[in-house]
Amino acid sequence: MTEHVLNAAPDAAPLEHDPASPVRRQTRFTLTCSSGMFTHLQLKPRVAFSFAFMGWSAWLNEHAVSHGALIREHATGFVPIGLTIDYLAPLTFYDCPSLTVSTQVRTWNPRRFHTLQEVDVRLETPQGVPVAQIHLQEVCVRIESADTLAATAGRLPPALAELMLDTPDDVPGQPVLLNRGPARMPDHAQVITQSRRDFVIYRHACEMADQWYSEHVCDYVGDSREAMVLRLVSDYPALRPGLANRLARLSIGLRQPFMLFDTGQILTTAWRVDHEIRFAHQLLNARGLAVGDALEVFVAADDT
Amino acid sequence: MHFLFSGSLLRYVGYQRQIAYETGSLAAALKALFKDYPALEGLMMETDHSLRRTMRMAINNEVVRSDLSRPLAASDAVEVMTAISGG
Repeated sequence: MTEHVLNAAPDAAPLEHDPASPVRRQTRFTLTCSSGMFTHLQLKPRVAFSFAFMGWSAWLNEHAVSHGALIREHATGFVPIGLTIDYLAPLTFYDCPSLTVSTQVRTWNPRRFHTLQEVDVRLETPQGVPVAQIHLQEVCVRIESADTLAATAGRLPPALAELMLDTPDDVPGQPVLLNRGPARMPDHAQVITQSRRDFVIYRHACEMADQWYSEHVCDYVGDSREAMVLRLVSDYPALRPGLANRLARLSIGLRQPFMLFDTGQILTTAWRVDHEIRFAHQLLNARGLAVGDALEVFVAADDT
Repeated sequence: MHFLFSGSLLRYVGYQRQIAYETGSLAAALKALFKDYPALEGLMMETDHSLRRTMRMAINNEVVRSDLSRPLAASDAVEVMTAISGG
């Protein structure tokens, strides 16, 4: 059985950026860093996503209602369907004693669609050097149970609409959703190799309703990539940047959630595209259906 | 038949992923289930005994919404899940 409530009509024209859109409200705070947040190369992607979700919660707190009140008093939530990280500078733990998290949120009602949020989070060092830019695309859901968070996609209720919408009017045009399937590789892309890795959703990777918490998806795809490189790098040296080099960009699209104790599989294909090594991942559920995808981009070293 | 549970519903059935009943219909199976696990009824059903819109049931991977009186065979699997969780 497949749940498609989070997908838009596939043939709709994308929405153009509106230059007249209002300046988005911002929230800023600073977090102290510890060594476990980094690899020897960079801030871990899951930590970057975790900071982004904290930024979103802080934005809600400052400009609307607390995250807890959103759920319990307004029976409303937001589900991420797209997540991206762009790493902006080669910074390590020693460069980042702390990170400032700056969050802007756009909340809007596309015509004939659910309320959407576009969340942009910037992480900077104390000196103002940008470390990473994170984008989250989230769909509004109306919640029926505060315990199970059982919900259906929908629109903000009137009290929240007044606080959160950038404009009260529906915005014409279909939104560009980030979960519409894997990105196309250019025609000259070359497949290096492919592998699969199973995963199980345990509670440490779930949110309060025992549904997977999407910041952990980067761990599942990262596990699959690392296992592939470790096992196959002797046969395919081109894979080496997948462990030896910095991740430049990560994008994730989610169409169906996993629940506590669900099993799944990551199907990973490694590609060479010009000076990049790309790991394209498909998230397969227990029935083998593709319910999400991710793309990790590494800049290849000159000697591979 | 047997029910299959996942996610946030597991806590209401003592973390049993699979619960079996010897009944011939979905309605009878649900009645037995709610007798054993009363908290599930309010979570899953409206006051008019229809399935809540935030819940999903599938018999052998075929979604069921309105016909809760369907006959069941001994080998049938009824999967119960929340439509989406969001928070």
